[in-house]
Amino acid sequence: MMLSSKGFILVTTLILVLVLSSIAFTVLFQTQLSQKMVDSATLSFQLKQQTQIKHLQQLQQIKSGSLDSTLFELAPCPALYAAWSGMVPECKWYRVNTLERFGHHQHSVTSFLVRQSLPEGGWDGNL
Amino acid sequence: MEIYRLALCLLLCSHQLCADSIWSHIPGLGTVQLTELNTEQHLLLAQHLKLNPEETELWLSQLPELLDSFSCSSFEVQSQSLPADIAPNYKVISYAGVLKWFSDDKAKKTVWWLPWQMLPLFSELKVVLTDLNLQLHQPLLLAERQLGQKDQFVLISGSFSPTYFALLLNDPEYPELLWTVSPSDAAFANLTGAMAQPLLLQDHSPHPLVSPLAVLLPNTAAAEQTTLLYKVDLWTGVVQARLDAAQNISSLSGALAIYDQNRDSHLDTLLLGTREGQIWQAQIENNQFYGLEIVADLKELKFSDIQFIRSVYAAVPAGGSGSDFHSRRSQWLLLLVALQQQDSVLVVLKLQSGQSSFNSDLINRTLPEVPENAVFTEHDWYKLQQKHGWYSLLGGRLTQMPIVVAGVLYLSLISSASDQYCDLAQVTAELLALHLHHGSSVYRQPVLPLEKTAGAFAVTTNAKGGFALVETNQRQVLIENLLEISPDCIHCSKAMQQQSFPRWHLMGTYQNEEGAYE
Repeated sequence: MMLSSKGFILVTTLILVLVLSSIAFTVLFQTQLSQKMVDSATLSFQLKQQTQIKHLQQLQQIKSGSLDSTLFELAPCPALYAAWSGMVPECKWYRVNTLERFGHHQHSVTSFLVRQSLPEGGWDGNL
Repeated sequence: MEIYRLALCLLLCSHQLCADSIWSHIPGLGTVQLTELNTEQHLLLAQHLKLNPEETELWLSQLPELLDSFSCSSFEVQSQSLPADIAPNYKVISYAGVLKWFSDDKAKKTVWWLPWQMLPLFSELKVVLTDLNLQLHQPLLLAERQLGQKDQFVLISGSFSPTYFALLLNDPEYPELLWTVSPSDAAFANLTGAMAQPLLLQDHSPHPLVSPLAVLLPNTAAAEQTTLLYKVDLWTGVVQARLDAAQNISSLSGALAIYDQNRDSHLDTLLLGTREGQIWQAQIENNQFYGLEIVADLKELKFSDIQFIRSVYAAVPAGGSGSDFHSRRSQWLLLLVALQQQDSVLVVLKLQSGQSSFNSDLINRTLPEVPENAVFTEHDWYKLQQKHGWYSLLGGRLTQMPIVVAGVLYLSLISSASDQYCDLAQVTAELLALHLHHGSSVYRQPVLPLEKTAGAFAVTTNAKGGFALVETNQRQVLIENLLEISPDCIHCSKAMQQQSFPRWHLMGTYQNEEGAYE
């Protein structure tokens, strides 16, 4: 009788230890996971911010002419409220792409810009 | 120096050398100078005029005087400049097909070109020239830039006879006929009227050997037409395509325009109209015309002819007033200038596919005679945006194709009593500058009086860092500081500055994210 009661306490204790350790392990795992999630969101945010800052710098550089970009013929000038008749002004379309990587993650920002210019000096009545 | 030049001119003018040179083209014999005909040519001319040799001689001796009687200085405001490398300071004007190229420099010869078919019709021509209800369309000039060939200059004109013809004018004193088409040619048997401005069309042909340049020739006449338009090769006049009308279209005007409706950098849509004010649109692709549809029926405005048609791509206000003020739609606008009782009417119309506009869809935005009465409220602005466009009675006759610079329409007008139309001293010249989207006056002074009638417009930079509007014939400055309209409010405008160009517009930004963190 004494022996069987000791065995029961041992088994119960062991089960209790097992249950407690599995709870502790789950909590630990969960904490680690949420930490990772928080980190990934932070990293993703940092990457996005980094890409966007770089992209804005590139847009400024394009406008000041210190950066070459993909120039392409897409269409004539976009519609303007202060419209013009004929082929004045001249428009060039630019595509600016900024790509940043971190580990297996990558973030890209692409912008389309139109440079609207007037012929130098003047232009005739075929406006 | 001036005295010597005058004396020399007087000496020369007394001699044949300074006389106008008058050219025509005898079928089968080629280009001839009518003042220097040989016996055979003289005989052919007599047969053509149905006169005997003596009468023909008299006709020839009176010809310079007759041609001078065609000249109308108010009308010559419409003249176009010849390219400086071909004929500096020369301008060309067409009197319903009778061409005159001349210079303000009296030492330079005036050259006339008379289409052969028109020679017996001069008495009828005089009637046409004095009919102010009609627009006399001007020739199409094609220089090196359009032709892609060095030192070449081609002029294509319609005429009253009815014929279309192309001249090679590499040396303006010796014109050469390239081709001429008339109803006597089988391909043009349906041609009933050629009082029109031909239009250049650049094909995008996959075959490099095929000439990509073509010309569109409208078939204008009072009667109902089966063929509205011919597309011909620029260099030969051979027909490549026809626009045939299934609908009942009569009295086609000579004004045409072509534009790139789908904005793919290829001109694909043609605009044409009847004299009464029905505006039609047709698609063109290589040698195919299709999809002829009516875009506006403005018969109620009682037009007698269409002067000019052109299209402008613009961001048109589509919201209304208040918080919606800034909403805009990108679309094509049709600018139409028509004659109504000898004065011009400007119509600005939103081109909407599958929808035709009527007079009731337009708002009358004629400038009041007293500038203080020009009230345009936010409510009016909202109402106008719900409509298809607006029109304005200009109170004079437009002399040039209107131009739009930074949202401002510039219109050059002349007005006079109809019997004094050709007397430049009796003609008053004005410049109008209207807001593209609602036709109000943009500058403080609604009508700018001009000292001299204005020719073609040009925009140049000024010394103050802005832009000026000048006219090319007399090089007179019409407006010293050009304004551009601004979308901030109904009447907002600001001075256009050189330093604000180039301008950058951010059309769109998109982001892309890929991969995962470990």
